[in-house]
Amino acid sequence: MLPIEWEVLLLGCLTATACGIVGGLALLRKQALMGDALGHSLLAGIGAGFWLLGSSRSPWLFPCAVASGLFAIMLVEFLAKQLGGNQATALGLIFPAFFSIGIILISLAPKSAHIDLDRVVTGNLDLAPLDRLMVDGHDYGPRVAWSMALALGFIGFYLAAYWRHLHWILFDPAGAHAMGLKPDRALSILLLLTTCVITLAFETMGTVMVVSLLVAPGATAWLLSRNLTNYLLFTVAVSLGAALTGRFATLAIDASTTAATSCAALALFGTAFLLAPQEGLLARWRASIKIRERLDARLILVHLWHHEIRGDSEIECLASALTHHLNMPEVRLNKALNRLVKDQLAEKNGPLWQTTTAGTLLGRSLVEDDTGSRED
Amino acid sequence: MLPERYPAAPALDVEDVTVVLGDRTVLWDIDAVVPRRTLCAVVGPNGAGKTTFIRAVIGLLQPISGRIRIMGESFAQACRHVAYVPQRSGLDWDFPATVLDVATMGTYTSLPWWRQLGNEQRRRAKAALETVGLSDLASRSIGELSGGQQQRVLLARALAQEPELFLLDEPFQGVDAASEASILATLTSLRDSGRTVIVVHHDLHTVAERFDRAILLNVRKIADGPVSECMTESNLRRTFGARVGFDERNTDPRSMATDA
Amino acid sequence: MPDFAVIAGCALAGILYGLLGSFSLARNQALLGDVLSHAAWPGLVLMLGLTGSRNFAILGIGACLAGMAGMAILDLLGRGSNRLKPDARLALVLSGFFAVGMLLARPVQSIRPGSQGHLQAFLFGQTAALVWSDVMVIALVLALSLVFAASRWRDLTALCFDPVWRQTTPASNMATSPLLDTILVLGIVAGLPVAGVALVSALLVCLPVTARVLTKRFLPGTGLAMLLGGLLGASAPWMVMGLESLAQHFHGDSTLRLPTGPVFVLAGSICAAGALAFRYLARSRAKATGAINHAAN
Repeated sequence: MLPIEWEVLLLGCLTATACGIVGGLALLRKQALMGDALGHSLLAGIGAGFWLLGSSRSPWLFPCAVASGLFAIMLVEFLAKQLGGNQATALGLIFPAFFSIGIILISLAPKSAHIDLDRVVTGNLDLAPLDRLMVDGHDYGPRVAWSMALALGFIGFYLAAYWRHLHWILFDPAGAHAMGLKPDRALSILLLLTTCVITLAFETMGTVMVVSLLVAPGATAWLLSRNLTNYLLFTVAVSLGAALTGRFATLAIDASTTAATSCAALALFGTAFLLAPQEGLLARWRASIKIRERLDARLILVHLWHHEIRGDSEIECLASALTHHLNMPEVRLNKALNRLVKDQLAEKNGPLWQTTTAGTLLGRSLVEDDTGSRED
Repeated sequence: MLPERYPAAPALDVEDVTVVLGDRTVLWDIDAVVPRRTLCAVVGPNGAGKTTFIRAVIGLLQPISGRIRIMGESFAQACRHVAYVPQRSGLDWDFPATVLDVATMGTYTSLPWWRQLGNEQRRRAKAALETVGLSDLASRSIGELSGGQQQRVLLARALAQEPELFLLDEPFQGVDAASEASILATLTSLRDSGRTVIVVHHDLHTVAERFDRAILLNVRKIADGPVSECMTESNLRRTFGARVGFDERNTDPRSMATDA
Repeated sequence: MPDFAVIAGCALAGILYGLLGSFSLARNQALLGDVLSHAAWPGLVLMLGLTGSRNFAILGIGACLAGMAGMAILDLLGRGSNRLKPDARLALVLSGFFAVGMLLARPVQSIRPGSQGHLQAFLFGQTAALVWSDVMVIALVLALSLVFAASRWRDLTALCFDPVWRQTTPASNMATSPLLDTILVLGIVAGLPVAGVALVSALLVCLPVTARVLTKRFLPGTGLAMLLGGLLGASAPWMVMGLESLAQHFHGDSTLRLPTGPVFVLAGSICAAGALAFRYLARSRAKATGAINHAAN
C-alpha cells in the first residue's frame, strides 16, 4: 500500500492527465468554456440524485451527474440556435441555472446525507483518498483513482481507435463527413468521455478549478507545438508537471493541493505565454521590432521606386523632404536609410535619394509579390 | 459648418500611406486625391486593401508612414464633417432599437452630452429617413429589416450627421436591386448638393456609369482620377490581374470583372 | 419575515444587475461578468488576510483591484499569440484567478481564525449576513451607475450598437468604454454578498435576456431589466424562506441554510426561459399560420 501522500500525488497525476487530454481536444474545437459549463451543470444531477437516492455515496449519482451535464450541453446548443448563434449568451443562461438547481437541492437536503457545499466549488484533492475501494474487506486504494484510471484507459482507446482520422474530425467535421468518417459519432463519444472525466474530477478539483486543468495544458501545448502528436504529448507533459509541482508546493506551504495544482498548470501556461520560442509574447515582440525595422527600409525603397517610375522624384525623393512626405520621425527614417545604403539598395545622389539597380528590382518585386499573393 | 480653414484643400488627400496588419503589408505607399463635390469609387479585387484604405482614412488603423488629410485637416480635427457607413454584416442586428433610433444616433455627435435631444435632432433623423425612403418603417425594429433596408438605415444615420464627406464600405453587398438604385440616387444627389462621397465598391459596371472618379487599388494604387481616364483596359487588367475574364472582342470596361 | 436590510439589498442589487447586464449583453460580453466575478475572489481573500476586517466596503476594494487586474490580464492575453482563442482566454483568467484565491484561502484562514465562514458567504451569497453597511455599498454603486448611464446614455447606445462607427465620430474622445468597464467591475463586486462569486454573472445575463425578448428598444429594455431585477431581488428572500420551510416540512431538519444567490438566479432563469419559450411558440405559430396562408393562396 502507498502512503496517503503518494496516493494524493498519484490521484493528482491521473486527474490532471485525463483532464488535460479531453480539455486539450475540446480546446482545438474552440470549446474551452464547455468544460466550465459541464462542471457547473452536473451539480443539478448530483442534487437530484441526492434527493432521489437519499445518499451521497450511491454509485448511481455518477450517471445522474453525467446525464445532467449532457442535457445542459444539448440545451445550450438548442438555445444558441434560438438566439441566432450566440453561444456565449446561451452558456451564460443555461449553466448557472443548472448550478443553482444543484445548490438549492443540496442545501435543502437533510443534514444526515450531507455533502459539504464548499467542496462542490473548491474540491479537495487531499481528502479524496479517504474514499476507499473495498472489495471483500480488502482495501484496493482510493476509489476515484481507479475510476480515473479506467477513464484514462477509455481515452487511450478512443485516441488509438480514431488516431488516423482525428485531424479531420477535429479540424473539419464537415469534410470528415464527406469522407464517410461519421464525425458526429466520434464527437459525441468524445463529449461523453469529457463529461465522465469532469464528473470524476469534480470531487477532487471542484467546478471552477477543474477548468484550469482542462484548458491550461492544452493552451500551453498549443503555444509550443506544430502538430497534433506533439500537441498531445506536450499536453500530457504539462498536466503531469502541474500535478507534480502542485503536490510538492503544498509540502512547502500549507495550502490546498487542488488550488496548488491548478495554479501550477496556470504558471506553466504563463511561462509558455511569455517565453515560448515562437508564439511567446517576448518572441513575438522581438520579431515585430525586427519586422518593423525591415519594413521601414522597404517602404522607403518602394516610395523611391514608385516616384522614380512616375517621374516626380525631384519633389518626392528630396532628402530634406522625405521625413515630411512619409510622415516618419527623423530617427526612424535615418536608421532605415542607413540600412538601405548598407544593403546597397539605395544611394544619395546630390539632394535626391535614388534606388540602385538592385533596389529597383527589389522594390518592384516587393509590391508585385504582395499584389500577386492575393490573386489566388 | 464647412471647415473653411482650408477652402481649397481637396476632400481627401492621401500621401505615401503604407499600412501593415500584423506582418503583412496591406497597402504599399498609396497616393490619392479626391477633390470636393465628387462621387468616387474605390475599386479593387478581394483582399486588395479597400476596406483597410477606408479604415486608415477614418483613423481606425494607424498607417506606419504617410499622411492623410481630410479637407486639409487631420481626421481628428475633421471628424465632425465626416460620416462613415460601416459594412452591414459587422453589426448585431438583434440590438434592441427601432429604425428611427438608429437614424437619430447620427445626431448624437452634434450635441454635448448634457443636452437632451431636441426637435432639431428629431427633424434631422426623420428627414434622413425620408430621403432613403424608410419613413414608413420608422418604428419598426431593426431586426425585422431586409438587407437593403438595413443598409439604408445606416445611410440615414450618416445623413443625419450632416457631414461634408461620406465614406461607405461596400454598401451594395447583399442588397436588392431596388435598394441599390435608391442608395445610388441618394449618393448622386448628395454629390449634386456639394458633398463628397467615397464608396468602396466592386461592381465595375455601376462605377463606369454612375461615378465621377475612381481609385484603382490592389495593395498599391494602380490609378486614380476621373473614371473616363483611369478605368482603362490596361489599368483594370493590372488591378484585377488574371482574374478578369477579359474578352478581346469586347473592350468596353463595363462588361469586365463585374464578379471580381 | 426576512430582515428589511436583506430585502433592500437584494432589490438594489437586482436593479444594478439589470442595468449593467443590459450593457454587457448588448456588447456581446455575456461571459465577461463571470470572469470578473471569479477574478475578484483572490482580492477578497487577500484583503481579508491583510486587514482582518469583516467590513465589506474594505474587502470590496481588494476585490475591485483584483477584478481590474483580471481585465488587464485578459487584455494582455489578447495581445499574445493568435493561437489563444477568446474562449480559452476567458477560461484561463476565470479559473486562474479563482485558483489563486483558493491557494491563499488556507494561509489566510490560519492567520485570521474564524474567517472561513465569512469567505464562504461570498461564494454563493449569504444574505442572512447582509447588514446595512453592505446595503449602502450596493446603493452607492447603483447611484453611481445610474448617474453614469443617464449622463452618457446616447454615447452608451452608440457604443453598444456600433462601436466602430462611434470611433469615427467626435464621441471617440470620451472615455465611455473604460468607464463602463470600471462600473461593471464595481457593480459585480458590490453584488457579491447577494449572489456570490459563482452566480453573479448569471444575473447579468438572464435579466436582460428576458427584457430583450419582451421589448424592441434599448431604453425600455434596460428599464424592464432593472424592474425585473428589483422585483425578483425583493422577493428572493421570501422565496428562500419558503423553500427552507418546505424542506423542513419534508424531512424535519430545521438547521439547514439556503443561500440566496441560487434562488435569485433560478427565478431569473425561469423568467428568461419563460420569455424565450413564449417567443419560440409565437414564432412557430407565426410560421405555421404563414405556411397555412401560403397553402391557401
